[in-house]
Amino acid sequence: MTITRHVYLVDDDMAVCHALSVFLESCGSRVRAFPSAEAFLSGASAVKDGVILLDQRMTGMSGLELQKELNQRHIDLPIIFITGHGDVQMSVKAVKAGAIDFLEKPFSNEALLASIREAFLQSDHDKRHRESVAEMRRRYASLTEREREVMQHVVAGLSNRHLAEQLGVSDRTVEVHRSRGMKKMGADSLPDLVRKYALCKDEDLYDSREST
Amino acid sequence: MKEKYRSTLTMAAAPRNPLIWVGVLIGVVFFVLDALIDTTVFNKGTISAQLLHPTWHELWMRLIVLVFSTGFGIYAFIVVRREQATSVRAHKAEKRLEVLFNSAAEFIFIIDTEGTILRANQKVFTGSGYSADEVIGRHIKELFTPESQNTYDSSFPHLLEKGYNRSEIDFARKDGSIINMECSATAVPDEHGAFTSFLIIQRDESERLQVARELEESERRFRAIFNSTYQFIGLLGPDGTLLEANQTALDFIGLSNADVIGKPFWEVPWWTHSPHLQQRVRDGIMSAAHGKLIRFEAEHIGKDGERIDIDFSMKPVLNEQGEVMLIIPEGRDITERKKAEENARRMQQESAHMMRVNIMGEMASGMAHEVNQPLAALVSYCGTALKMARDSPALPEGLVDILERASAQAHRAGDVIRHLREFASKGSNSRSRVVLDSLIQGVIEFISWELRNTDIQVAFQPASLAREVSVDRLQIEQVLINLIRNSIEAINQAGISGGRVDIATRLTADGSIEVSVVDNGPGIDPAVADAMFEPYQTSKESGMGMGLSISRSIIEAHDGKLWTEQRPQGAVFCIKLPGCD
Repeated sequence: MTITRHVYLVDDDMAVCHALSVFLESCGSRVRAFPSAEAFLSGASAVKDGVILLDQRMTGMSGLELQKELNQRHIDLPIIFITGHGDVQMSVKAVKAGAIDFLEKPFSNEALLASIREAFLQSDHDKRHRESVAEMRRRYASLTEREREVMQHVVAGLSNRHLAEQLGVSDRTVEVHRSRGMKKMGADSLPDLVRKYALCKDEDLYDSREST
Repeated sequence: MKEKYRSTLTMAAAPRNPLIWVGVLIGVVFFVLDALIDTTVFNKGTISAQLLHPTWHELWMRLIVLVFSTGFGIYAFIVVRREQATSVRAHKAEKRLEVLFNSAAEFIFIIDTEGTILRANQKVFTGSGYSADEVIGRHIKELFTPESQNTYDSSFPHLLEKGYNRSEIDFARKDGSIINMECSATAVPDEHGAFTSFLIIQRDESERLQVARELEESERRFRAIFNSTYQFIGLLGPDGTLLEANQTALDFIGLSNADVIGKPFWEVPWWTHSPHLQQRVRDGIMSAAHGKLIRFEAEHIGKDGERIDIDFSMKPVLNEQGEVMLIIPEGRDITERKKAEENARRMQQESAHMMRVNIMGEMASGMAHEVNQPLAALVSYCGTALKMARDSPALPEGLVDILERASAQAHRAGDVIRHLREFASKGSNSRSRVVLDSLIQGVIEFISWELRNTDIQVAFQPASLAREVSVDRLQIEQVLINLIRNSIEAINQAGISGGRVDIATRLTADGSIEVSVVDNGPGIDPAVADAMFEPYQTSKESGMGMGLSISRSIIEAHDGKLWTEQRPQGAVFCIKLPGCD
């Protein structure tokens, strides 16, 4: 099994860095090791798609602090914590803040690989999700004020006639707004519209999770 | 004396009493008359011849008459003078009696057998307000209150019969006020033994009664204090006999005065629960009887089986000659104080134990990290080596097995470390809801106990409105004790007098509680401010450098924060803990 993507290794222990680099490189991954959280942050602009293996306890900034900092900078690479002395509370905190996994040293190479794979799966999923959300938001943004209003009520389950009454326009006008809105949102049925509409709203949830 | 002597002398030298001269004169007159009779009746010559030249016979006779007359004069003089002297003495005695009579502080009356007042002394007039005319000739009972008139009526026959009587009567003054009198009546018998008059002496008892009442009142007050004090007090004779015990002491053993008074002190149930204490009390009484103050602490069992600690003392009371008259045994209940001492001691022990456990946990945790790093590298290297070996076409025999075993051993080492850590942190996870302010109050009481002999003040301003936190009580206490002790040590090390540690709590907007520990010590060196929460960092001469590291671990384990703030003077440590809903 091989990994072709980037692994960013942040650990102040040289031996650990070397051992994990050797292993991950043997799996085909491109590994970049950083001796501290600060070192990683200074090179953070260059990081691309990949996963971060992060030691919790380091001199200077701790792993949790780095995670917080990355969240704030909207660098949303998946993070796997590797720690010499984990405890339940710490791991809960890390996972709450978005960590994929929490590995306690010493861990086997297999466990690490499984964790990294999981991280990529999840980050890909997240990425797709984010992309579709971004797409929907773009589409939603292209709606006119009137179309948004109509969409909102359609999603809420109002029939065209009710809608026309409420907005004080003719059925025909509502029909036009509705079909134009559905087209702009790329929805081919009402259920599809509801799902896509929900995605736009989901974005807000995503934002709030990131910022905590 | 001298006067008397002189007067006797003059009298002997020149008798001036007329009776003597009368005697002499009679003699001379007889001398002349005899001469006249001789010349006129018997015609024996001239008168001058008779006077100047009497015959021997005539001369003898006349001289004898003269001497007899003079002797009679002297005798008469002596008799008269003696009588005069007696009368003067009697007069003087009378005068003295009069003075005594009038100067007496008592009312004195002389009454006849009917009860009519014949005489009364001056005190009666000054003391009653009546004039002599209003008293003399009146019936004595008219001066009494109606009740006392009855008393008089019933006791007068007794006086008539026995000649003596005592009674208490109320005397009514002229202004209507009343004097309590102790009254004694004595009959004055005549030469035949019959009672003709009575002497009544009345003493004003009001004052004496007042003094007695005051004395009684004072006695009652002191007894009230004696009996109602929370202390155990009594009185012992120098031989240890119990003379008095106050109510508190009696109540404690559930006995009454009658059960214990007169017994040897050590045989009263205060002491009978312990032969050792009894002996100690006996020895103590011996020493106290020689003037020594005895004091010791003892444990007692009350009537309900409750155990109390007593600070017991025996104080000798000396008379003017310096002899021990009494011994005052006194016991103060110091159970509460003892309990506080014990609590403080237990807390100290707990705290020390917590400290050890925490240090062990922190060390195990630090070690786990340090050892797990190389183990992690080792495991990873083995894994990689295994993978490479498997891919290799020419595999040395047994290499895969060896690498697998090496990896397993590294994992085993990791497990050992994990167990050690789990063991060290065992039992330190018993959360309960406590009011943080009360917890801090307890810690401050404990610390104040340690500081009772220093001038360092620890003050607390609770303002978290009795908000509860869910914490491991011992651990949070440990952190607070740690911070406060750091402050105290810093103050002591810098030799600052008037050291202060101020602890305050406040509620934050998000429902957390912030605790600040502020001192007026030398403050935190900014150069070490960052590193001081790391393990093995210390500024103390004998510190391990674990305190702040452990404290921060504990607070973080409680989802809280521990940090310092920079101030121009002194150190500031803050703790933030989430409050319970």
